[in-house]
Amino acid sequence: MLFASWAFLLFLAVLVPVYFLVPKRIQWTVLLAFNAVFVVYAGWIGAIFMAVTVATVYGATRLFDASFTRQKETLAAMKATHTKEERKRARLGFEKRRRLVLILTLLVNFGILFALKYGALIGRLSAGLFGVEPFGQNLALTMGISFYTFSTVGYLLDVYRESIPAERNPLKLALFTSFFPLLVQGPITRFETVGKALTEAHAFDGKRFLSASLRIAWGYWKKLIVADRLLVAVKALCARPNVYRGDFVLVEMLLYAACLYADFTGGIDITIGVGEMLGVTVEENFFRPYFSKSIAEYWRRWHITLGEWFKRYVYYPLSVSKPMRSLSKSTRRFGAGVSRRVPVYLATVLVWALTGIWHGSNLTFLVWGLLNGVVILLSEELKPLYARFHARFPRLTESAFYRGFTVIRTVLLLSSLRILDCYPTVGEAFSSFFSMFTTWNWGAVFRGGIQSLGLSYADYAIAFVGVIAMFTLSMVQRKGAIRTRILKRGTVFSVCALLVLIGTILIFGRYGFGFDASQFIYNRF
Amino acid sequence: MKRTSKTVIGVILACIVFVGALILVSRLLRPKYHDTLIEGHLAGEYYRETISHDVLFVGDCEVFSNFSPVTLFDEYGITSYIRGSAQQLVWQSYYLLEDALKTETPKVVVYNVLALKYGVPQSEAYNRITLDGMRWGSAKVGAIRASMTEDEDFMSYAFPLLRYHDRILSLTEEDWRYWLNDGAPVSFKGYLMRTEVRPATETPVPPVLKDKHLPKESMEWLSRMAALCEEKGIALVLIKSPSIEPYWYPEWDADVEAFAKSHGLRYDNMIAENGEIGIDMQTDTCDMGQHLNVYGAEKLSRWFGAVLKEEYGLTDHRGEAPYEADYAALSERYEQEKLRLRSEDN
Amino acid sequence: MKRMALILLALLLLTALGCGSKTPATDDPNVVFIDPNAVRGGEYGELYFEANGVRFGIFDESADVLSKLPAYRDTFTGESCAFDSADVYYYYSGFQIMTNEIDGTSRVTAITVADDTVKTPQGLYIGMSEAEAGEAFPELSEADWNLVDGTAQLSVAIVDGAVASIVYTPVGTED
Repeated sequence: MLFASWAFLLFLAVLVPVYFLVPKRIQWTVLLAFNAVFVVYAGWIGAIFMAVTVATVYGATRLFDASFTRQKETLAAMKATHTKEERKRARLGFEKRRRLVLILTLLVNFGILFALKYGALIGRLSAGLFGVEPFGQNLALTMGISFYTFSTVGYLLDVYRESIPAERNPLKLALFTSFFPLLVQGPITRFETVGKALTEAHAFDGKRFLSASLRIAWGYWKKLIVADRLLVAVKALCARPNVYRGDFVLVEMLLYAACLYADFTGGIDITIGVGEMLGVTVEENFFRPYFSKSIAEYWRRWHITLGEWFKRYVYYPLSVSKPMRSLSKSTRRFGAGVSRRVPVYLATVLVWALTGIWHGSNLTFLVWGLLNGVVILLSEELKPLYARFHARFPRLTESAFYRGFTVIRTVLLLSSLRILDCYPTVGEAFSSFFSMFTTWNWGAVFRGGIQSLGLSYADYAIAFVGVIAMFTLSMVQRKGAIRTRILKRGTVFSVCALLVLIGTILIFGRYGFGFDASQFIYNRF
Repeated sequence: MKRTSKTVIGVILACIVFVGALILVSRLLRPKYHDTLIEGHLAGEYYRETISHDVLFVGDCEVFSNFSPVTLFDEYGITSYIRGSAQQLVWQSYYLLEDALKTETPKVVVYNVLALKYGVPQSEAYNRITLDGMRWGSAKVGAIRASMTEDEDFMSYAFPLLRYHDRILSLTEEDWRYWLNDGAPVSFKGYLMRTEVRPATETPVPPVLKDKHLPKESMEWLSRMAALCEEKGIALVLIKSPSIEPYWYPEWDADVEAFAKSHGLRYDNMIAENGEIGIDMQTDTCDMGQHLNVYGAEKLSRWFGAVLKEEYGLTDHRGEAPYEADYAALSERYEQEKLRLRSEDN
Repeated sequence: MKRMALILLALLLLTALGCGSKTPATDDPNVVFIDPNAVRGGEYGELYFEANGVRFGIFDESADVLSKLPAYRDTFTGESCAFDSADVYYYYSGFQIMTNEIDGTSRVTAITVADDTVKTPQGLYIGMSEAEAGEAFPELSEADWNLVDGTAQLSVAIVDGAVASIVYTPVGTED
């Protein structure tokens, strides 16, 4: 079920009243039932994979819990009778068994994800390498699998590290894994927050309902008016890299930046809004990302939950892991700088390679991920240089002009990297990118060029107004949440704002017959 | 308490204004079918009728182009109406008939069989042309359900704004002119007049038929139409209008012939009967033998009116109170339109 | 805030109503829906036609093909009820071509062999036996007489064991 479908709106229209009318005691079970309907509606296969994830993670975490208890009891009992060495051995024994369970569970869950995501690619590769029939060509990602696998594995790792206790009720874990708005395009959530909130009782709150409706409507507004409109032109530009070169590539970069922002943040607004409607607070995934002054900052403000996940479960553990520490030690002879950098560099590169792979099975995504890492490391290396520059020209670097420059520089840089996300092959992406510097064809762009992309000038005008609206709201937002300010003006004003949003979506949105009911871009992950 | 009721009233008012605005916008954005795509105006014009009809024609362009109710009245006093639209599929004809039979019971229903070649929904655009003008009721709901192509949904028929919202980018003067009123009728009791003469030439090679028979789905709808007429005591007449393109296959003709025989219906294949009718595809067609121009339509109506009169004993309504006045006004407009179109052609 | 909302609304209305530029007609049922990016003349693989030494195929620009071929014998414009765009046929000795407007350019959308006086470059002619046709173009008979290559499709109808019709159309068109 996609957000922009009658089925989804109908689903929500049935769920919300039922959720608040049933006794609080069974509220969460009702929600679980609705999640089940949502998952099964998307396909039985996906439901089975999800059930496997829930079952394995539940089993593993319960084993961890039991193991922790037994470990404590055993060690306590051994305290009087055994030596320190024996106790350590016993503890290691427990740890070893837990690690084995963890590895097996991770293998199963990432195995499913990997097989679905890369099965087709591997099938093609082996066909090319070994001359066998290409296999796995009809594997398709099931709904939300990249998101819920990461969320649930996050929970698994938290329990493994004893940060949180294991949930005793498997249905509650199932509820967390299958919470329907998160299956469309994330975000990746944490059990201790969202998982817990889902099982709590929630009373209906008119004000919260109105506030959530505003957020959902704004999400649809961004998606249907801006994203789906611009996507037409972006697709057309990327489909013919041989034709649309030079300045068209710059146009593509900018349109895609706007399109992706509107699409992804719009989808997340809907997700968070639906959560809010039910009384569940879902983590924010964006913090005005296009106002970032560097790529590193951008990645702390865009798709925040993915970055957090990698940091928490890959980057930190990896940087302090035994092999990394010994590697750092063994490079000490090259100097303190080197030995300090080696683990950081390795971990960064690995995390970015994984981030790239997470985004897609094409080589383009891997290159994209690695380039992001390279840019971040490079700017880290250049930090002293920047510091000198800032010290030298304090008036300039503290000016609004300079801040604006860094923001635009970041947007252009990340858009350049994103070219890899659009074109089918790395070669085409690079060749398109460099054509910007060799081909000057603004004439062709504006003499009908952009009109050949499936959008009329009026379409561009509407998208432009949409982008201005998004930008303006982001600016206004810096002084405080907009919805709070709207709600403060009273219910009637808020309802009017909601109706204006709905009305403009109905008229100016791109939907319905004749339009490709295009999926949210992040839905394919 | 006072504040709460004020809020409630405010919210209700806002919603009323919102719905009102949406209705206005929706009316602005729907296609007007008045100056362009005028075939879309046909379905709705029927509801303006103040008199009842002895003969109802149903079918596709081969009825609304080829029969002139004015001629039928002038020559024989037969009152008639054509409920036809562009590529009107058989189930659409069925439901338009069902819709009409809610308010009147004609003596004869004439169905043109060309559209039987389509057994499944064809195109959203043609669906809209036929269905948009229908009044709401069980017949319209049935027609929509039967007609929707794969990508369509019922909601967008119920709320046309959902379908036509993108027209905001291409509004024309026509849209503003007919925003709040439907304008004058474009047809003459369902007949769309054309006066050009474009003689027939060589016709395209008809593709070899893969399936020798008309689709059984369309024959089922035809059975339903026959049952509906029988139930109401109406005589159903099947016709194939004269044309040379699209090609009417002998295999299809045999299917219709067999159907007519088994249901005891009259079937006129006017292509075969043309010797008697005398349609000349050098002078009587406006588009090289596909549709008749007004001269052809009048010629065909004169012939067919005689058949109807003789076979079904229809009353001559000429000189009768409501009919005479109704047709007098129509006839005048009809002659004026003929002159206007002729001067346009020259 | 309120003023901002008003200004935005006014802007929206202005852009929408003021620039009433035309969007391409998406309603036209007569044009087979083809991805405009896929419409590139000459990408019909092996399924081209040849007459009077002129080689052409599906989606070639009509103007180009018509100018190279000798004068056509006759032409016919297929009326589509209600909609403007129409099938335009051109008759030549032994074959006919149909053209349609696609994105503002008239292109060849069907080539039909009319009688047994011409033989296609694939060695097919009307009246040849099914066996002969299969021998002349094995791939076609293996594809159940409906072969696709590039943007073109070649359909042959076999009636009573002999080739009864030969038609080239765009991919995905039902006959």
